[in-house]
Amino acid sequence: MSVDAVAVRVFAIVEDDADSRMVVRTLFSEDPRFSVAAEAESAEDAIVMARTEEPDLIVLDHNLDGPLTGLEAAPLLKQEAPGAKIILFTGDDEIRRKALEEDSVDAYLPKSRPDELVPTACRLLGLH
Amino acid sequence: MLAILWLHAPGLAIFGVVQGFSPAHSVFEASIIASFALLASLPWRSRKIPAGLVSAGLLTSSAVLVHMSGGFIEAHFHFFVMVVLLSLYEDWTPFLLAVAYVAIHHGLAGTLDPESVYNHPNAIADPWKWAAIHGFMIAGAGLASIAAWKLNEEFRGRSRRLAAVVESTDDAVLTTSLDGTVTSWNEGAVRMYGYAAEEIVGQSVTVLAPPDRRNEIDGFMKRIRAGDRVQSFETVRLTKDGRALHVSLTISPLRDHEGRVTGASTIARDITRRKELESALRQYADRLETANRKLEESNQTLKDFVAIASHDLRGPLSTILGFVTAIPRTWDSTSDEQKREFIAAIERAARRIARLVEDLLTVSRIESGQVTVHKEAVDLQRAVHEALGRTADLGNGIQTRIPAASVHADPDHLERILTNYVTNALKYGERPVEVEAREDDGWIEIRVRDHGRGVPEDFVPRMWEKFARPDGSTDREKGTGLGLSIVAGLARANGGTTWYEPNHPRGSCFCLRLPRANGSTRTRSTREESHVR
Repeated sequence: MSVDAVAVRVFAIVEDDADSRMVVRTLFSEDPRFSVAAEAESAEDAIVMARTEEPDLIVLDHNLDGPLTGLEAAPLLKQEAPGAKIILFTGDDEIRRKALEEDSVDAYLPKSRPDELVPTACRLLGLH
Repeated sequence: MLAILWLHAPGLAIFGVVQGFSPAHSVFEASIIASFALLASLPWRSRKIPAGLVSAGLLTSSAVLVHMSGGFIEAHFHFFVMVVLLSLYEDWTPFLLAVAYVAIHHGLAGTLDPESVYNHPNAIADPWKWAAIHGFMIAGAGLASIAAWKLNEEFRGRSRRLAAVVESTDDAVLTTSLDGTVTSWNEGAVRMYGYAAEEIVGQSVTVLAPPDRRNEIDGFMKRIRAGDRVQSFETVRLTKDGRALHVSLTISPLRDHEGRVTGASTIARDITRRKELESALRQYADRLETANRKLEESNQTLKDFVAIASHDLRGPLSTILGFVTAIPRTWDSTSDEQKREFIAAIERAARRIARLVEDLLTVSRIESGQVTVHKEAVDLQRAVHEALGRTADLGNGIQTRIPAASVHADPDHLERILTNYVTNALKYGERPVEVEAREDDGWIEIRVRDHGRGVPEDFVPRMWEKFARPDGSTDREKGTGLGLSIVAGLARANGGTTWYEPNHPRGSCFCLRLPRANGSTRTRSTREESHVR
């Protein structure tokens, strides 16, 4: 996917924890090419929003409010926003292998590596 | 036998005189018999010699009797009686001697002086034939007697062998009559029970049974009377000095020659050592099982800890790490208000970590029994008031109904329990929240009620376990999963209990029961003052 000078629409979902959402928002705020278009607390809310917001990037946690986990929500989100890249950004390292096997997940990043979130997003979107 | 022979001497002397012989002749005949008796009385080394002398003496008595009766044929029966008597020796020698004696004596005497041997014309005419007949009859009687004593000998041998086995076994072997009276008692029984045979034979066998097992014996006897056996029945018996023995009893009916049950034979084996070993094995197995269970529990605890660490500790840690990464990069473009927001978020995350670590340490102390409990009389109204003060920021709507009473507990622990209950009610339940207490026979029961959803039924059985969280609870609702396990542990450490009841019509009711304090009440502040001093 090629992206021009227009800002990338980042769509952040970080479980139910507002502080964690703030972390992701702040990390992307340092790069002017990104803007945070929407935030959701649950996968169900995110699926509804993906349809209207048409994000280019979705940062998804695994443990979420509501019945769906991030890994379960990934293919549904991809269906709603086929052009979006999905990064599974989670503290749950037990799902790493499953995340790598899931086609709709473009990248897996543990929460202990916040410094790699923006570079990973750039790599996926072809930004240099 | 010798005595019988001795008796023949005076008997024959009297018989001679009665028959009309001269006293001198009668005494002469008697003295022949007495000579045999005298010789047989000498201390012979071999038993065969006196047996032979008695045999010869008795048969001579028969000959003298026949002779003095004038060959009276009925007097010959004396021979047969003597031959049967001789079988008591259980020896061939006197028999062979008797046969030879009769054959020769009747042959010779029948030829030389037939009237002195027979009063029968045929016998007088043919003395050797009649001597042979007598010899055969005596030999026949002898053979029958020998067969009897051989059988007897065989039977006695078997009895002796059995008796030797019974006497040498370590098992107690005893016989009883049908009413339970002991009739025989072997050496094994002496060693096992401590009673000598003469002490117990004639007594009731119930003296061996502990009072609570005496009715067993009635049951056994009922079965024995019906001809049944009691096989390897394990029970307890008492020794003479009152020690309890574990024994295995096998009881069989004793029958007479017509098959009627006349008593019971009991074989008792001491299985105390086996029982001790079994019990030791069982204890060992129990200990192993307990150790295994503890190991599994601690393994599970470790797994739970890892899970908690991976999520609950890593969550806020990631938040801190994220901000620490983001802030330097955005420092210049971040407003002061945003910076304050970041610092507040970092503080919240750090406090979450601190609270979790504190809870984990408390659980660990409770489980290893290292909780220090400073029990004292705590004023209940004051304790509730202080606990509510700690939760003041969560809002009002708490109603209290607390009697003037004191509990015997550690005030810090009581406050922690009450704070947990009230916080839970405000956080997960709905107002009004009610805190009430009542006295109950030396105990104080405290209940904290709310009017929310109540605890899901499937969660109630495990709600006091550590790391327990209801299924499907959201992260906002999830605590550390340690609060209630800490509450239960602290209540136990203070001699109390905790439990849950559904509230009516809806909501939860968390309960606490602690010992009531007796005597004067010291308030929390006086305790603190005393510490300061």
